[in-house]
Amino acid sequence: MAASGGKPPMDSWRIFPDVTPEQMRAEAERQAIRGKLRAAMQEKLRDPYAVGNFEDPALTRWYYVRNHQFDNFKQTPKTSFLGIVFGIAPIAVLTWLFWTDRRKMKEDWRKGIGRNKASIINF
Amino acid sequence: MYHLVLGYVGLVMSVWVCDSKVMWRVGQIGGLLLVVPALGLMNLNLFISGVSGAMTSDFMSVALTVLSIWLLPLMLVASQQHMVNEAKFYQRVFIGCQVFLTGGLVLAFLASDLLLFYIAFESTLLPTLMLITRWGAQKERYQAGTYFMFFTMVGSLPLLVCLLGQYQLSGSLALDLMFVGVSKGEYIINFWWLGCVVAFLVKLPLYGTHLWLPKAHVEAPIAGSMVLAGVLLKLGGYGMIRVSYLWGSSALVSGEVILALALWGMISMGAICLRQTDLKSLIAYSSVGHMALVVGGVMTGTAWGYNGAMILMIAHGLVSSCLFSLANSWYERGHTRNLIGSRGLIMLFPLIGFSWLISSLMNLALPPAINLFGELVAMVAVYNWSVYSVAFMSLGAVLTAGYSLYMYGMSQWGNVMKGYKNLYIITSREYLLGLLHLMPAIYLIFYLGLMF
Repeated sequence: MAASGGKPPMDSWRIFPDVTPEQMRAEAERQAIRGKLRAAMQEKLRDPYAVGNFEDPALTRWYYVRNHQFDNFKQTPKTSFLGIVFGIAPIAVLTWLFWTDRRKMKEDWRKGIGRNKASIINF
Repeated sequence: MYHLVLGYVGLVMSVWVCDSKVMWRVGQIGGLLLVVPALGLMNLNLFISGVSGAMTSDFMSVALTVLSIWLLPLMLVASQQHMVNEAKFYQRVFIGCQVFLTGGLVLAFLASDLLLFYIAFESTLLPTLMLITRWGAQKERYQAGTYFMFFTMVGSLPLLVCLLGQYQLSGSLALDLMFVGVSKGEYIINFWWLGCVVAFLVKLPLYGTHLWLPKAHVEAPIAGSMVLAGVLLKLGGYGMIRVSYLWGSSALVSGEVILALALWGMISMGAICLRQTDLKSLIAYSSVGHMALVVGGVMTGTAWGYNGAMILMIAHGLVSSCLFSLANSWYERGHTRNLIGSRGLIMLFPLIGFSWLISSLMNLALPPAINLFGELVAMVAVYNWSVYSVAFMSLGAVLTAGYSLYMYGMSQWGNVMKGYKNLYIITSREYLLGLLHLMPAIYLIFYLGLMF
């Protein structure tokens, strides 16, 4: 097969026509690494002498990162933008919205008009 | 009502001196027996009714008193297992802490004087701090205790100053006063009102000042989490109802900022919950979302708002406490709170899955659960306050339903995690916990007249 040239050696049935041999080899290496990780995990899982619960260090690391994001916070333009857009602006907009609505309501009450007298939404 | 507080003094003493073989039972049975005098106080008038000396009992006080008293035996039952390996002396201190905490809470809710309420309010901080920092599970508990302590104390110092100023002006801090005529129409009165209210907003917590809550709830042991979520948050709500009733119409500014924070908090906490990986953290953030609606209900100043806030507080106290104890029953076995690492629980523990189901369904405010009625009544009150709030509240309610179902689905369904060994069966103690949490909640569905 290798002698015929141009065709990747692992794809004898040509299922992946547009994958180069280097890509195929790299993917095979990645699958081998994953296979070793799976085998290590299965060994730990099926160990008959193990006591206690099975701990996956990758999961522990991932969990630690998820729970310590605030401790590693750094102020960047992106975080400032996010803080303003999702923290300060909604509060400011909502406050302004309620303030104007309430002021109008109270003026209507002083004038003796009921609420939403001439509007589409009439309750 | 003094007999109730004296009952707690007696319980602390008896836990301290009794034999170490029975100290847990003494705490649990004694706590359960003390529910009876509390139920005898129950009356349904909304404002001050029964008075005796420095204490008063009306509907709000007694409802929350009964809740806090009910939670004491539940806390002791829940923490029995994980304290097994501690020294007997520290177990005794642990039980004594919880009994003292409940006694302080009962004093706070039954106080008829605002200064007594303040003293009891602050006195609940110390046992909770001890519970969190001494018996928490991870090293983050020190930071959690610090946050909890300092947030609450910084919030409540203005309350002390404002209360003392009020005492100097009016000569009394009794709860049935109205602070009218204090200073007519001056702008300073807004800061006075704000100073009184900030303590409770931090305690409730309002969205802007909620940072202490996820830390404290997650790092606390199960008893700490149960009492925090079940009752201590309600101290904030109860205090706000009392103080805002007293200020009444003399505060010129009304709560637009606070309501804006509350409504946005409801939405953003719902969104954050959908991204959580820690089970206890999810329940903690959901507490912020539910309390946001309580804040909304109270800040409207209407009777429906107060009623909705009260029902919501009782419902949330029972359901959140139940969820924490269920999460803890898994944590004791799997030593993980990771949502990814705790799947398929319903296959492992089917019967407690019923408790998980009922409490998750109540958490998402499914009818006919009382959570729904609380939310509905509070939402109507806030809608009456301003029409535009309904968009945010409905989005918040949808997100609440979303994360409640997410939590139930992620923990119960899916492939069973195979890495856990020695998963012992759910003990009848834990079934009892679930039952005792949910039985009042289900009972209240049929007798909601108790709330209205």
